Amino acid sequence: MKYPFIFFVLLLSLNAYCAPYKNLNIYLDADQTNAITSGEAIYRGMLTALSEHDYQIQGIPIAVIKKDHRGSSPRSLAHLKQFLKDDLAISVFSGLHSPPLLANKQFINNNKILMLDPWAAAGPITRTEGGNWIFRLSIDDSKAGGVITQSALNEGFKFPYLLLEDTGWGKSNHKTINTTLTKHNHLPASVTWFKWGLSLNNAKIILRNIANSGADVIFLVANSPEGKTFANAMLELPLKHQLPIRSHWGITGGDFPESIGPENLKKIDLQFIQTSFSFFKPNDFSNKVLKQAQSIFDDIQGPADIKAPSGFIHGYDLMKLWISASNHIKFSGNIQQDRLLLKQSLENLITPVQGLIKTYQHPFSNNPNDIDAHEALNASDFVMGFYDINGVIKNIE
Amino acid sequence: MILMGSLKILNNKTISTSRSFTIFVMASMLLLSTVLLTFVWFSLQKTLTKQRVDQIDITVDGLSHEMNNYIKVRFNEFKTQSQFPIMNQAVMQPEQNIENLKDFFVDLFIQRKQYQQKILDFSGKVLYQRFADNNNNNHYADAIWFNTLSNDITSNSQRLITSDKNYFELVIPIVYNNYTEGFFILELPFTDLKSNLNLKNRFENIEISLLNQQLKTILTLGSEIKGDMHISKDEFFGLKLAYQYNQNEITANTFSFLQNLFYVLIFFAFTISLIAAFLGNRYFVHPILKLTQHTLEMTKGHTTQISLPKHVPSEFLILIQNFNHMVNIVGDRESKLKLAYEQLKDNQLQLMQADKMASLGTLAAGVAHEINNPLAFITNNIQTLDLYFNDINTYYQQSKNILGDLKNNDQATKTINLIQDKKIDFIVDDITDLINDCNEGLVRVKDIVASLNQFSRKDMETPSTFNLRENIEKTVKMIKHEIKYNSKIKINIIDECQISGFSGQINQVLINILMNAQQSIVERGVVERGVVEKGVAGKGVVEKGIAEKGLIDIYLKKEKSYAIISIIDNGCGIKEENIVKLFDPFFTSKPVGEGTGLGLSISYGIIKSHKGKIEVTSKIGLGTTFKISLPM
Repeated sequence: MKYPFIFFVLLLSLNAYCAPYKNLNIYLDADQTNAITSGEAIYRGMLTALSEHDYQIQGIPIAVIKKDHRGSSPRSLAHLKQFLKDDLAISVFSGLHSPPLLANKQFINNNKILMLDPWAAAGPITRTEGGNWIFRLSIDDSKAGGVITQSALNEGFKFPYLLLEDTGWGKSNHKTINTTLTKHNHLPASVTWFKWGLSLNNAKIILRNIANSGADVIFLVANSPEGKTFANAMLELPLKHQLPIRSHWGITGGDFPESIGPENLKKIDLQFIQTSFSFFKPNDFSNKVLKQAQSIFDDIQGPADIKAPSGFIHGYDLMKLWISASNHIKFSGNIQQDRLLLKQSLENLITPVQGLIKTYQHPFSNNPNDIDAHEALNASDFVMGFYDINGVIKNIE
Repeated sequence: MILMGSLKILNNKTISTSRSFTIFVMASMLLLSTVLLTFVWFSLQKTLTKQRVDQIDITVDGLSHEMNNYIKVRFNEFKTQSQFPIMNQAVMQPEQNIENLKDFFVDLFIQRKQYQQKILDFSGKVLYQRFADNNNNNHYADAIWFNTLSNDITSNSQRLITSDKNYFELVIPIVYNNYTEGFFILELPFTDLKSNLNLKNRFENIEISLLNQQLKTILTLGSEIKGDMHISKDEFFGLKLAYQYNQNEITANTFSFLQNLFYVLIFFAFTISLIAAFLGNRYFVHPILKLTQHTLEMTKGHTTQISLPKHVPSEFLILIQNFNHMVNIVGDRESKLKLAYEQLKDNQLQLMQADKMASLGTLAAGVAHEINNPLAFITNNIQTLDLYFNDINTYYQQSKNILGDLKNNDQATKTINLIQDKKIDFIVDDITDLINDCNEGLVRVKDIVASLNQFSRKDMETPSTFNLRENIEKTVKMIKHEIKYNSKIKINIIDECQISGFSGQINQVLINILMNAQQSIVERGVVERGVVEKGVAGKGVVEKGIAEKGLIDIYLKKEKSYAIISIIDNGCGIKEENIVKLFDPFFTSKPVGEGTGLGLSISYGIIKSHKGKIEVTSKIGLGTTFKISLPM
């Protein structure tokens, strides 16, 4: 009688010893409202990756907790503060918007919040001196502006007009676009800064002015809400005021195609930057991932059902990296310590990790002199994409 | 009751309609005034209170509108400011946009003023404020509006105004894509409100309080008053105005008003009473009095119409018209009644007269019959006595002669002495006179008996148709000699009239009347040209002046189916009290021994037997008229 009891107690103790956390939380601090598609896409990518590991790491159940900051930096900060109070919160995945990361970057780094960025593209996000806790697997604006510009120049455009949102994201792209244009001996026709929430009429005024400026293409750095506004405004203008738009990928983060409608999509000459992988050019791995996603999400029947695919793809790949890094550490039960361990594991991840975009080999480092130390992708991973008639994103070959 | 009391005051004496009416009007006015004042006293307080409350309500409503407008105007500008894109950007990415915001606010005005304005992030933390906050209010997470405006996803259409301390706090959520991402606050100080609306010294005797959504006073205007709090129905931006007023002031005003009202009422009551009394008298009492007077006159037999007055109520006019109509009818009926009465009286008189006459006739016949017998034997006896006396007288004379011849005869002398002593000669002479007188008397009695018989018995003549003109002429001719010395007869034949009857009797009637006429003229006195002396009959009034001779006019005319004989004299006239007895047998105005007094009564009987009538009218001193109506 005594021995089974002792055995039972030992078994419990062993279990207690084997599970430093009853579960771990990964916060997804993204815009789940204004750019709901992007936030949902990231979430699905993360969950698809986790599902391949039974939603657990080292026996510890992993939960993804959605936090909706709606693009507001203060909200994001509030979520980060919640994260810090949560002893089970191990990491934060961010969303589409760069401004919250830019605004709270110091807080993130000062408080050693392990931030993983699958979408926000502003260059300074991952570039900090004295401790950088933000890791990005996404387009980097230090390169994106150049890609957009080069692509447009390759198409033959000569007088781009910069239409940029008046945020850090817009500003970072302004710099890189100008640098690229200068490099190719071009100057922008002009630049107009717009605020979030501008009205349709204001958009029309801006577009009319742009058309009258002699520009032949618009370089747009905007998110989905403002992108829709500009698209609708353009559709209301006469043809002579309708210019091609070469955009950052922020425009794809919401319900842009659904809102504009297939008929109007045909009327707008719109291209946007994307990462190079597309489910429409599948491979075995991507098919497996798609199948895994289909097993989790009933509404995904095919590649076309993956909305805002960049979010899914990046979310999946980044989660894979996180899982790999997690498997290379031993969770101690001290959350701050474990965050640090995880950070270090990410920076020292040399084991190849198969992702959708590519196989990652040592994607991150802790080299303070490397401005891309926390960038998993580079310019070769970026292409231009467009909406087909059905509103599905296709990459331009 | 008041009227009764008024009457009692006058010691239960009945009073005139005019005075009654006046008292009634005054009493009514007094009662009305009392009731009115009492009613006014009890309701005026309520009315004045309500009026004051209404007035205050209007003031408060007006103030509510002003305040509403004040806030609304500023709020609209404020709302416009909140929709600038920079507001969105500032709350979404404050670190990057705060400096821009500061510059933006430099040129931001509301109604040309710069008020304290704050930008809050979604958590209620102040991101920016125009002026330093003395209250160090840096966080609004505990503000009562915070949760409402934060959690409600439709809150972009809401804006809540609360007020605290000394300002209004206007809060507008800054919305991006239908979500509240921050807040924009505007603080409007109460001093600014007061200054803009000029609220200082505007409200006397009322205390107006501005209540917030929790009905807590946040601003007080006007005087400090203790009283019931009345909350206005209207609200603006969730705020309400309440007021207190001084009830004592209203009570004092009520009393003052009532006092003045009392004086005015008394004045008007008095004036109206006078006017009502005057008009009432004129349009109601006077016609009634007139009507009364005429009614009284009517009872006295004077059927005079009331002249139609002007300006009386139509009902009175109708009444007067009807009264006049009634007067006419009554007068007419009265006349007819009078006529009928006269006729009846006449008939009655005539009937009485006839009856009397018949009775007298019967009596006369009876008397005559009774007298006739003794009269007959008395007459015979007197005649016999006369014869016997003649013989006795012859014997005496012869005896006396014999005695005279017997001288110295004692017996003879004694007998002569005895004759002288007994005055036999005188007796013998006197007896002769006596017998003659008796004979005369008997003749007279016989005449009277004959008259009585004539009066009572039917005429022995046979009736015939005869012309009255002839009767008149014949009769006049017969008596002309009798009356020519005193009177002049004038015959006026207007119509020829023939009647059936006894001509002789008619003549007798004419003779009786003419003789009476003549007699009355004689009684009036000597008539000559000049001053008329008073008649012997006495007291009749005669006119002094030139008088005609005694005149007797006889008229004959037809009137319908009657022959009318009028005999008019200008004699002394007949006293009124004698007219009714005129046809009574034995009635006479002549001295005793003159006339039998049967003439007119016989005449009456004769006319009556002819189915006619005889009437007499007379005026003392002026004359008499006999009117004989005989059927033709």
